[in-house]
Amino acid sequence: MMEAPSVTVRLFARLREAAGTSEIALQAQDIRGLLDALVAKAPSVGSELLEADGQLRQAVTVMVNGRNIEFLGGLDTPLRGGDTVAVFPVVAGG
Amino acid sequence: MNTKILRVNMERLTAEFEELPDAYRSLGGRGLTSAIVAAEVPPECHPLGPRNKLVLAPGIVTGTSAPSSGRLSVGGKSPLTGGIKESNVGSRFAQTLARLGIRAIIVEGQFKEGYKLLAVGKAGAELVDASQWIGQGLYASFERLEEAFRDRVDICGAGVVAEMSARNSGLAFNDLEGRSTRYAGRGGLGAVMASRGLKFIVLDGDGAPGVEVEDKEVFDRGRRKLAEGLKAHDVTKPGGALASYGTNVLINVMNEAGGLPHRNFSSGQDPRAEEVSGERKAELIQKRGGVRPHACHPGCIIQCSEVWTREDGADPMGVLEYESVWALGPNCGIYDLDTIGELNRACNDLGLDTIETGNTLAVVMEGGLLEFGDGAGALRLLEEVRRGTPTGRLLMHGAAFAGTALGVTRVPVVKGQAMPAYDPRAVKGIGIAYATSPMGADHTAGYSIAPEILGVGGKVDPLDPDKGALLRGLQRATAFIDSAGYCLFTAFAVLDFPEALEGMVETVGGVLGTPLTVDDVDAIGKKILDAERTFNAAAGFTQTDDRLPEFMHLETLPPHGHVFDVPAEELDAVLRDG
Repeated sequence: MMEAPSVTVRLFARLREAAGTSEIALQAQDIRGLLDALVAKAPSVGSELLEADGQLRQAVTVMVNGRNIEFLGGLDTPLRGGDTVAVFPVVAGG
Repeated sequence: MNTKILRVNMERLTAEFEELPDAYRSLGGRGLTSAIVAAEVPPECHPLGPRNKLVLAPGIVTGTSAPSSGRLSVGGKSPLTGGIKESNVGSRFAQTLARLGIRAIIVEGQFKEGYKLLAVGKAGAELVDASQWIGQGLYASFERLEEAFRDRVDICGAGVVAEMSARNSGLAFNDLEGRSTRYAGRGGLGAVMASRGLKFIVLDGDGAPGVEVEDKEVFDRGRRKLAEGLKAHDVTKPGGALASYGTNVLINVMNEAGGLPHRNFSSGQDPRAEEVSGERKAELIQKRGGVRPHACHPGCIIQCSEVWTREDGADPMGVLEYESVWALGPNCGIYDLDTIGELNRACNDLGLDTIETGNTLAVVMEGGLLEFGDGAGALRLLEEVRRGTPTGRLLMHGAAFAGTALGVTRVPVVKGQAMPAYDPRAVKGIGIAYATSPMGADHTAGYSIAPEILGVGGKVDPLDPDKGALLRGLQRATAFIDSAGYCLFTAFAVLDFPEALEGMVETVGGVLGTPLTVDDVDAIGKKILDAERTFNAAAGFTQTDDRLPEFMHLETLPPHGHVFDVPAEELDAVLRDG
């Protein structure tokens, strides 16, 4: 089996506080795998990201190289080496 | 229901109360200011001439116990756009005005022998001499006005740039600590007030009778539903996203999405954005002993505001909003919060709108007057504005004026008003709002960033240009909210929770004693927008004014390489159809 690509994960707002860091390097084939790896590495972000049933919370935003995964392949969005994944909890302003 | 209008004639120096005409009984906030301006101001008049008027109106529910509803609309013909203007501000001033039983203040005519101050209290209203306040900064003036009247008066003021007829002059209102930090900033309404010969309005709410609610049962039911929604939503609840980080949390989100304009809209992303992010600011406020969360008016559940200070915790400046941080920061290539804080302080003191000022500085940087990133130089330029030097005069009329003077072609304006902190090439819906709003480029006209970027109120692809219907609906809903008197941020909850929206509508119906349902919102908003567009058409606007500047169609935006590709027919259909 091919080794999963290495990506940079950038965390923001409460996720940053929960993880105690703003950036983590992880390896994953897709976003689903990446979120699993993220929660395994920083368990405290789990409740910010996921509902009790393990689904991604509605207002959590995940971008791969600046593009929201909603308009790529959702949780199945594949990752390539060197990608930047930005993960935001619910935020708003204006 | 309160039914008084205060008409202030600056030529005759009279301030008289009159009955609200029946046609205006169901109107408040933006609905009322736009209706009065449309009825009483000739669309072709000079905005600083004798026929323009300034109208200030609290929202329908403002001054009641409805949550997050301390909003005021200020209207008139804009010297910046040449069209109708409604500029909106959150401040206790709005609540006090409503509690004094006043649905609107209309300031008309011109006093040319100096400046007056309008003092309003439960006993009545009078015009007094204001010549001692001429030429002074607003922070000091507001402090001295509190001493001259009493603590807890509410103040609206025009700054020194308004005295110089600046097209970029806002109206300042006091925050809860008395500072001149809350602004009806957009569109040059400070100069409209100053050109009437009016410098300040001071309200004394002592003994104010309050807002009469016609159907208390319906109002209370609605208020509870809305409050529950605001307290439950992750964005608006106490300790939620807005209370924790303020509006500036958007810096990193927009930068990651490639839609945060840097260096006069020449790029959508820069790694230095992190230095001026909401996360960074929250950390510094905590370290310095600033205040967060903070409310712009009593009774707000959301509390998105804050008090920013200098490095040693001294000299509280007030709130550093997302739009201000962006305009005075990344858009000028400045990535230092302390410099941005001082630029914001200068704007608050002079009476300048921060969005227009940041865009103007960026345009003159592009035009070679200053290097991008030169914060000290930008502060020096604002001192030139204060002194009214020729360079200062070039800067005080906004980005379009400065761009013309310096021969710059990348000037991000619509209808003469500079764009806020979202590049429309990366977020198409907000570009439709900028293009089609009767106000000029205005993000609050239809805040499609919520579904396009933030995943609130649904999720839509920011790059999809087919959003005419979405923006039509959002602009109408916004016009309703601006008329009701609610903070636009209540929309985050009402977009996601149908019961909260129902509650909002019930509070309006309860105050008015009129049965209203959610189905009425669209028609109420449409009527307001139609009145505004009719005024603009008579003032000379055509479809070609509902367009973004050419460079946004021609220049791709790094890093993602998009242009603004919404067809003209789609823009023309937004406020015409449906």
